[in-house]
Amino acid sequence: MSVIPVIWPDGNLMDRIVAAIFTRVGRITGRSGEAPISIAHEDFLAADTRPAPRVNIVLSRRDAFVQQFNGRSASAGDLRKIVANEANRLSPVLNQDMVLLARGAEDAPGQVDLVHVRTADMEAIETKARDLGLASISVSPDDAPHLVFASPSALSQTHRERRLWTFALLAMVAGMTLALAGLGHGLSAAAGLAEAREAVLRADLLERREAEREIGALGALAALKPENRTSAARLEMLARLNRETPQAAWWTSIEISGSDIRLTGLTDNAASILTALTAAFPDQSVRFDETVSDTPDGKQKFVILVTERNT
Amino acid sequence: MIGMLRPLLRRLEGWVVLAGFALAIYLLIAPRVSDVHDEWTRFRGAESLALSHAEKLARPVPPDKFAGYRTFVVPVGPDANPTVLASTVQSALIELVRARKARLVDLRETGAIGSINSLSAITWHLEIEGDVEAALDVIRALEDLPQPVLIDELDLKPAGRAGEPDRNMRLTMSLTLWTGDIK
Repeated sequence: MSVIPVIWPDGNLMDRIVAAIFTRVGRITGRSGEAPISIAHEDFLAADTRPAPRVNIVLSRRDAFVQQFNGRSASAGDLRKIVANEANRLSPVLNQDMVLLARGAEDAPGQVDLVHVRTADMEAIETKARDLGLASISVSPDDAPHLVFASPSALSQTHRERRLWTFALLAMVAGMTLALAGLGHGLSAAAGLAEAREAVLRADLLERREAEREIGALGALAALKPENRTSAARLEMLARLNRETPQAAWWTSIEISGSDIRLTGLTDNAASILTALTAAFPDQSVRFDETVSDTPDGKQKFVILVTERNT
Repeated sequence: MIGMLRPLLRRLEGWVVLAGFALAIYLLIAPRVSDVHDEWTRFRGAESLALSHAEKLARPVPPDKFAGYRTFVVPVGPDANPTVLASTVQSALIELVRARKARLVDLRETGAIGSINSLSAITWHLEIEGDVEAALDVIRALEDLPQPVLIDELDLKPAGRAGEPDRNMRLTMSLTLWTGDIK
């Protein structure tokens, strides 16, 4: 069987590219189901323009000889074996000049249809098909027009397209795998950097919050005025009260609670005590906390409260 | 047997190829898509957190105008045991009173104040009897303690019952020690 090389159709390249695109789009969208038009062998060779996107060449009985076999199956391997057996059965001279096309019968499982076509005729048909921009053609004998055989170039083209599609899909899968792996790796590195940066900022933020928490706590402590509650400050306050209290008075008790001072004592004139302490503590409120009472021995008992002045 | 399977395989060839591609996509691409999604989520999370931290750090630092008040706080760690410190101070208070001419009437730890923000207070009730000088000595000696013990309340009055005053004085104090995890 001769090998017919499949080459890109010459002629108007753009027309053919557009036609090929429309053909593939038609296949995808299901519009490729148009039946091929049948045209006689001689008419096809004489045609100047492409008769239709899909063409079936009808060969006369003189150009084609049909055989039918019963095989185990119509698989591609069986078809190849049957074609090889039939080719070997023919004389070597005829074998060189003949192309054998085989196909599995659609209506009878295991039955194989075989057609013999002259090599020169097949080459002429396929050359003409390329000239007309037909990527796929089929042939059928006129005495059995329902037997449609794809031309060798069409079969080759179909197989090549399948392989190309397979390789394209494999390449897509491999490319996507590699691209995704690279993207994942890059994102992992970027995420690592971002996490490291976030960790540094988080440490800074924790330190800042710790400092703010300390400032807040110390501020709350400062509101209690702890500097006035040390033993030195308390002694200083006691000394100051003692200094500012007139000599004619003496304390019977003193209570200090926070910043409040409650002074209890006896004197000849309680009002003078209040006056003296008010003058000594101008920033604080000084007042009698209880009613001044006279004692049997002629003294006055006083209870004076010294508090922070409410601003 | 193989011959019987061949037609079936021929008919299923396209589906087998498609299933192979689907399997390849599932085994090769799906894990990587998931990985990319996970890494992207991780990256976005870290970036948004970093942005949030940066925004918070961009705010001005409050002035540390209460730095001087650190002297009133005993720094202790968050896992420190306050009872050890309380026992130490309590022992020091007993020794302090014994060293002066005063009689210890009552010393106990109370939980009167509690805490302010992150600062905790240990409080004691201290009651002694003695003459005025001894009472003032005890007050003065509190400053010698290594810990900054504050006098929240102070009550100084004659000892004895009402109508039968004693020459001695009774000094009652509420003492506080502030602790906290500060630097």
